[in-house]
Amino acid sequence: MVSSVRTYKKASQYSEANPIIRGHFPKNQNSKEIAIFRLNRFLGCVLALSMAASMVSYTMVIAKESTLADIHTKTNDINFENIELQNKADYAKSFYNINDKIVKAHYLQKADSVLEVNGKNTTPVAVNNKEEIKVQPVSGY
Amino acid sequence: MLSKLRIRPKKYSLTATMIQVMFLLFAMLIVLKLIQLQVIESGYLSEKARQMRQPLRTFSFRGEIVDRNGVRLAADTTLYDIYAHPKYYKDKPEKMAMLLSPYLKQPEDLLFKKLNMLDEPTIKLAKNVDRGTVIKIKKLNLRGLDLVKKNERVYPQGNLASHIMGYVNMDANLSAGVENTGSKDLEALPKINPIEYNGKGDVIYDNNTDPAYATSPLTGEKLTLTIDTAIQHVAEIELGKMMQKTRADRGTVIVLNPKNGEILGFAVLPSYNPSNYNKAKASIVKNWVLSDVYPPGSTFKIITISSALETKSITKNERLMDTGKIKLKGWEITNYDYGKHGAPGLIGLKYLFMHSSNIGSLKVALKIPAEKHYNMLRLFGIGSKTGIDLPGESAGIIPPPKEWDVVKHATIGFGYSIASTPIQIASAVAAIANNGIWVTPHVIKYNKAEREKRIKSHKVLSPETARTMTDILSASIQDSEAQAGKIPNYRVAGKTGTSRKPNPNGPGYIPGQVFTSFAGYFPAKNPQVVIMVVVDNPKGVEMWGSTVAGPVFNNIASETARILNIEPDAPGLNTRKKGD
Repeated sequence: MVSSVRTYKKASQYSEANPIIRGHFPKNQNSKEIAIFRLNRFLGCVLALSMAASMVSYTMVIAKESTLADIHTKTNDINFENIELQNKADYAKSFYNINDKIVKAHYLQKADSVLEVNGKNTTPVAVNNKEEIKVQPVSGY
Repeated sequence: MLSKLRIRPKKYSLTATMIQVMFLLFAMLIVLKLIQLQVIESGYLSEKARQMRQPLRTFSFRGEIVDRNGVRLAADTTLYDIYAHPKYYKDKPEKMAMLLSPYLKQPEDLLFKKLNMLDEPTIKLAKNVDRGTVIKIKKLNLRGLDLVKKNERVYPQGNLASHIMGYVNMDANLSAGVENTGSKDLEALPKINPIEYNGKGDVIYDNNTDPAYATSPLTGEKLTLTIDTAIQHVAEIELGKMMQKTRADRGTVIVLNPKNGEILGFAVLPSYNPSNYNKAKASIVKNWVLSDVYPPGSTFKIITISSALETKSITKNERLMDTGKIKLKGWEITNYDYGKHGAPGLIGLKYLFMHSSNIGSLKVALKIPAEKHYNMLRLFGIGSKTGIDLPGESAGIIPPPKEWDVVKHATIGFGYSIASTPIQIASAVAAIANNGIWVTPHVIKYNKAEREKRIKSHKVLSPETARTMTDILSASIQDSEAQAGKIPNYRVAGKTGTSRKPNPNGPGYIPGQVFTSFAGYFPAKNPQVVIMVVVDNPKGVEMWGSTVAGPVFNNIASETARILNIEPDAPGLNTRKKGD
């Protein structure tokens, strides 16, 4: 008798595998679990944001360094070119160069001697048959 | 609210566990790697990083040299040497030779021969290639080429002031001129925060990096000279014209400010281009104005008479019996114009200078006790280096007074039996122009502290003696028949000189060869410029200080007065009136 009662009780007892009532019954969550969940979710968001920020920042730094390297190279080239041009300009305007060019071009050379010739007295020729140019007056002049 | 926060029931999942373990292992790997890098290999890696990031500024420019107005006289430029390393070739030597040939201006077959020496680790292809060509070569993207940057000194003003500039050969560590004496400053690089480079050689920019320094070569200190390029040019042109006209061997003009010893012009001809100094003869490259001595001749009479006045051996109104010629211990000494004027009789100091009386000068010299005379000459800087900031200066020759006999003492009076450099005579005359104070002549502009250290000055004459000398000299120039020293609007104090050229291979003089010179200063009222002209061995009929060096002095003095805008002390003097 006793054993049959026990068997009945056992069979009638609630178990997850053999629920008395079927359906979705969420468990009551305590405040600790809720706090942990919130914290996890927050940290997850922060991590995601940090990763995104890091990726953007890394891309920007790489782009900046590339631009900087490009500017550096160009500035370097310009500076060296400027040094060369300055040297050339200094030489071009130097007394030495100008003097050399003037001497080579005989720019200031004086005549070794001046030939003196007698002036020829000629009677001016009178041009009598010169065509007359008739100018039509134009308004505005 | 709680419904939104559903937590699914925990279920054991093998996959999730595996992933967690993998993450854990990965995290542990990272931690282990960090421990390896940060702790175990920390010292080694720090050192390696330091080596990679240390400033690699091995390439730097020598400082510029500029004149007193900032005109550049010397600067650096960049050139390249090109080497090939066969080990790293990507292209065939034939192709490389074909591509490089037009840029290196070398025949293709020659380049191929060079490039095809495959057993050599390094092959030199070309030297001193300009930057423009190198940029074009870089664009060819040829592997195995090494473009080695180097700096080369350039002198934009060409031959101008070549003996002051000197030269520099950085490979052979050779230099001359201010390139030598100023090298410490020219090579002193500015103190900046070190610029760091990454492994590829790119600059690592941080907040302390100055882009101005990072993008241009480090340059040594700028060296400013006392030279005025315009005066230097005028001096070289006028001297050159006279040397061409008289076919002279060599010549020099020294223009200096007597008040502070600054040299405004230092023309030495023949000159050379400092960029190609190795192509010029050694005798031309040498700064003979400082190293070689000559008998100063009659210009030395200025020093003799000054010494006599200062030692009170004579007075400014001294009268001397000029017999035209004299015999001392068998040696006959005559005036240069003895044939024309004979014995002029009693003469004053003005006449002595006007007619360059040797007899008058030797009589004055003999009035000064030898010891006092010697001391005066030493005070004037004769027999000692002036201390000019250029290398290779010699002290000149002056015998000690115990070796002076009457002939030597007498001839010293008119600039023989001693030998001096042109710079010594110029600085001695400058002392008279500077109220009797001798100042070290110099070509580098110094700051106050350096100036006090390097520029010496001492009293040679009293201001009264200096003033008396200036008055006598300017009056003698003005009353002379010669045109030497007569320039419009200014009174010049000065003296011509013509001295025989000593035989370098033995005793005596070279027949027919002379040094002609003129030493003078102006305006006589307030001397601001001293000009010394020496022309060595002019060839012609009348080769005198007054006909060769004098006109050079006049032209340079007139131009210098215009360039420096010196106030005239005698407006209208020596100017041609209309109708003349």
